[in-house]
Amino acid sequence: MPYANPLPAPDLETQGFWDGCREHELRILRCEACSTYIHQPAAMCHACNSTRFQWTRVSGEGEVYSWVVVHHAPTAGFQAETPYVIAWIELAEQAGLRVLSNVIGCPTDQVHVGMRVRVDFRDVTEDVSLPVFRPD
Amino acid sequence: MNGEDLARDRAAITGIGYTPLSRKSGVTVDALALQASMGAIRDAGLTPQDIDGVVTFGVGDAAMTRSVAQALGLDASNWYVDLFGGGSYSCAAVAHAAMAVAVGLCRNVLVYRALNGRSGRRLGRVASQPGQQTVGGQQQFSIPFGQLGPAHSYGMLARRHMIEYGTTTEQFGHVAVTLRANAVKNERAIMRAPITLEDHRESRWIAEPFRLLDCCQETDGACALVVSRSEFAGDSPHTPVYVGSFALGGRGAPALTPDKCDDFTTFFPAHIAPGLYRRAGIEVGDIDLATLYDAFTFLVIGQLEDFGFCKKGEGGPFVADGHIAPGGSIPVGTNGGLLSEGYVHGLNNVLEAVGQLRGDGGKRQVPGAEVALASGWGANVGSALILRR
Repeated sequence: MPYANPLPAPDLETQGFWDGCREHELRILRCEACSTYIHQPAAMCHACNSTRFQWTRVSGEGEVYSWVVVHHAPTAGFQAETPYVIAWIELAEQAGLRVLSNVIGCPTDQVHVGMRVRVDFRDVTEDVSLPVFRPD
Repeated sequence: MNGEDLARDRAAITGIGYTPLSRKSGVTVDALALQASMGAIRDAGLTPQDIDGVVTFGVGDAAMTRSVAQALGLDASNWYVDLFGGGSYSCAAVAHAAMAVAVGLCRNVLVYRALNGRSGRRLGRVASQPGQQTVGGQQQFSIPFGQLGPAHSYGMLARRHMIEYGTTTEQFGHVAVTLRANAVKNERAIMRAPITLEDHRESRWIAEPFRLLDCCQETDGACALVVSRSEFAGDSPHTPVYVGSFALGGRGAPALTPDKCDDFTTFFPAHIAPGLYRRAGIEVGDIDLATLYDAFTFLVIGQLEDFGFCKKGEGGPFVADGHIAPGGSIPVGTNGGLLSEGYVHGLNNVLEAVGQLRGDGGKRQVPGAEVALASGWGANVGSALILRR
């Protein structure tokens, strides 16, 4: 059965993130001038206003910062996956550097703040892999 | 004051109008806008020819100001504003009108919000148009993971507040129960059957920590109001309600994608309230009632803290102790709010504040109400008004 849920449409600023995911690497935009990691990708570093960045592979380790257990989703595709966990994962590389993702591989009621997780990749189509997180 | 109070009381709300609120209006969004607008214009003792500015807001689901102006037969307009945005603009729309009259550009500005929010385009489903296969922009980092609507994204903020301050879902329940009790006294409200904390606790999870009874209505309907230059407000058949001050602001990244937000539990009022009160010449203790934007119960708790009605982190115990109920230290959502009156994207809460300050609150009147706060939530960015009689 074809994958039913919406896929990301990369653009000039985000292509590197999704390219990394396809190669099963979590890459985050990093400012060349002040080394601050930036996510979501942006045209300017909010810390120093530089516009020079490099895609940088990160460890993929992080902690759950906040989460929601979705029991009701307004599309059939996601409703079929309920209950599922969406979570803000704070990455190990930098305080406050967070990505929105899913926590999979454990019962939804086991998810807790500070839970240590590690990135994994879900190959949802031939071209698209979504970064998800599992208990570490 | 360094001129900060330049706009204080220069504008007054002189007319208000509603359509019935329902889940299926059976008419177009334009028809709703026109019905509410005519109601507000007549309520102000005016005719459409007296209106020289029009403001609305929406997210692609609203009646456009120019088509409403044309249908009303306005002679001419000096100011059209179609704001693109949701709840964070409910008070900003009124602020735009207040600015237009304060600078002499307009004499009477019509403000409305109309939507078929249940039978037409549902906000909770904005992220899921049929046939949508790919998502770009900021949503490419949320929708593919199943973060699809406001309950999902604001649930994340509520959870973080629970983590940092020990706030409980039962405290959310106190907001739901209190506002429903207010709606029981409001003939306009969609949800008028009383509920208990047990009903709240037993309602199904939508996006844990939010249960069904933590979520607002989805509504078909419209509201409108007329904002007039204060010099002419005395012509209105009603007690004028003056716009003491207004703001649209905040700090940080957009509400639904707070990756860059360094603080999940400090919301827009923390950034705009000090100036809002100063410009109106009031202190928080002067406010008699607050019609806070309440798309979800938790939003009330967060705003009570950041508008300064209680200390940071104490919003949960504050609502559980009855402070927001009638007779409490700061009555909230006297109409039942978006949770129980209905969801006209927050503008109905502004109209409730106007009705209370006129003394037209009926069975739910806050005795002696002279100063009201209304707000429009967008997490770390939002809008607010100080209104006074």
